[in-house]
Amino acid sequence: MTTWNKVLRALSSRRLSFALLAAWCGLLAIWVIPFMATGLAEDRISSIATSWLPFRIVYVSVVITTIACMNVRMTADIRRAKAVVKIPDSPGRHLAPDLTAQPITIPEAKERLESHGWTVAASRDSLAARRGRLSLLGGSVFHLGIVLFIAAVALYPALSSSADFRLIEGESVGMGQPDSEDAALRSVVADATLIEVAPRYFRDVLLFERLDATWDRADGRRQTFSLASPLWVDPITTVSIQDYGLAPRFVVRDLTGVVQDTTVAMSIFPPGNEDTVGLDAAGLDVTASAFPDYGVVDGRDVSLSYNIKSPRLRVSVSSQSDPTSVIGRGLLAPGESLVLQNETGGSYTLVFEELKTYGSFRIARSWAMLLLVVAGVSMVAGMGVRIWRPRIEIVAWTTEEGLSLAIRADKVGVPASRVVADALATKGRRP
Amino acid sequence: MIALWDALYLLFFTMCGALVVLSVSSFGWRRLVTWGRPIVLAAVVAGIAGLAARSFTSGHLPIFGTFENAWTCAVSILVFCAVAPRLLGGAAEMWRWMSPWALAVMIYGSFFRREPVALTISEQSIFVDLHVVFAWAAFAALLCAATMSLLLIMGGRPAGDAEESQRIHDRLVLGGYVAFTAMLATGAFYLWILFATPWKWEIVGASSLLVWLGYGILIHGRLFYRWHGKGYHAGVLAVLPVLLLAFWVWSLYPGTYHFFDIPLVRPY
Repeated sequence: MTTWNKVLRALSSRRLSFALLAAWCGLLAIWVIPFMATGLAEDRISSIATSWLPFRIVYVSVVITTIACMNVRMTADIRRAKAVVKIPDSPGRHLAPDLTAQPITIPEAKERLESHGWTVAASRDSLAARRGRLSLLGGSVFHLGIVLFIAAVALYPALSSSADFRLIEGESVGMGQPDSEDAALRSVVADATLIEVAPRYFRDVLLFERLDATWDRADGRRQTFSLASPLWVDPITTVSIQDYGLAPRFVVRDLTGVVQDTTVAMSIFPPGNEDTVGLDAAGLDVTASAFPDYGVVDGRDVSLSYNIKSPRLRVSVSSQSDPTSVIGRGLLAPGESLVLQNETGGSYTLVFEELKTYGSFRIARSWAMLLLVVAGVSMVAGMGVRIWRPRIEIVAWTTEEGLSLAIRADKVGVPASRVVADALATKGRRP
Repeated sequence: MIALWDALYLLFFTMCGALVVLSVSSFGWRRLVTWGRPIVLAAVVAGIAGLAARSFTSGHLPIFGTFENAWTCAVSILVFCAVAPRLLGGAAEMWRWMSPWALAVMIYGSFFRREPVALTISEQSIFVDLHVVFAWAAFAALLCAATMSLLLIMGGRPAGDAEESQRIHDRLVLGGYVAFTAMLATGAFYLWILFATPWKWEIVGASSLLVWLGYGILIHGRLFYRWHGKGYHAGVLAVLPVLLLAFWVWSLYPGTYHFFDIPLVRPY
């Protein structure tokens, strides 16, 4: 045996595979799951499970040993799958029967087995048959799926890119959006103009029932998508809405006209959150909190639900030159205004024009996902073929009492004798 | 006035209890076993009808929250008991040792919020529905295998003679493993759709991976070394707590995106 073959055999050792699986289980049970139960942050857990040397040794070893094992076993399995069905010499002398005294002749047995999809070779007084030829390859296909899965997860960062960006209703994707070095990724949404972000909450509770985004493309297409039903740009690229928020539009006027007209995304949702935005052209800082569905309960200003039905904005305005001094406060409905005075005696009007929404979007592209889909299909299909159509081989010969059969099959889960007896007793669907 | 889904829920719950009583009583009076299959079928009809009525009320499939998932799980277990014996070619009395699980799951689910609520947006996908179908199919098969292991260790004959019981046990483990793999695959795909990553290190995923590896060891041992007997079945039982953890930890531990008993926070 050559050195390479010796190495291959050592790497494809069943004991080594057991040891690696047990090691992987141990690492999960000791270093991952208990830390999760104690609430350790996910990025720390991810760092442990992907970067710690013991984990990396297990992952690399599993891939190497699986490939080695497949190399050894798949060669033999392919040879067996391709082998022609042959009747051995004098089977009655050399084989111990598993089924005896079957009241059927060789020609009848051949016909019945072939009608059940068996491949049969028959002579005058003996017969050999086989079914589930490809079953043995199922195991190799399954393990190929494992190798592909581990490879895809390991290569995922190199084969994937994503970018997040934010758009307010009415905005178009601007220069530099999304913030990504992947020009192809940026070009996916370069011509989009956000028309609407439509959240809907279940009754009056903080439970998203719907969150749809609608935008227009330069070619006139209107596209609507959501978190769970993203836009499929191509098989490996999706665009989805991840979150939304409120974006009030402020117009600041003085005696000469409009000083600033701006719509700004603020972190003021859900109700109770407060955020501050600077209106630099007007020299103002505006601190706001929102009531998407304003009402008064027991003398208190509240939001009756999370849906935007009757919005109000509670604002507190200060001058950027003297942030500690509040120059105006109020609870504004859309269209309402505050009159403010600056330190020189001039007056401003701050108008809360309207309450828009903004969406937080994500573009994700990953070649690794194709690998993962192939891996998943391989694992399920490989294992499925192995189980549901197991390989069974039979050799039959005539005796004085009838037909005797020797059966060879997987010992695990296969009622081989019953399958063979049923096939001989009934005619199948195939002609 | 009680809602239709609620009435069918109580009917199904009662039938689960009746099956457990029947199972225990049949140890003393064997003839009672013949009542088992008709009651299983009736319970399946009541369970599916109840879930359909619940779906009509809530506007979505019954996959949101522990109450719905427990009910769906219990129905899945009894559907498995009705269908699996024919596919496996044996274990016709599977309902006798699986009905206690169905009842236990129903009792567990009854402690959680039962009010029908809308389905949260992150669950509104065909991939979630597929993931759930594979999940409950895997759970029923592997739970059945674990229970058979317990009975075999105790010297019982859950499906005829030792060889036949082992054959059926093998089919349950292998079939459950395929469904479990499909569950992981659909979950990974949907996770990428939601979060642009196929894997997140959180407790449900990690414990599911541990279950998958554990059964992988057992299947390798069975196929390569013909593991059998009490040692092998003890191994199958050893994975059971992790299987239960993977499938139910999310009902108690909120630090996972599988957590769906979301507090219904009101704005004031």
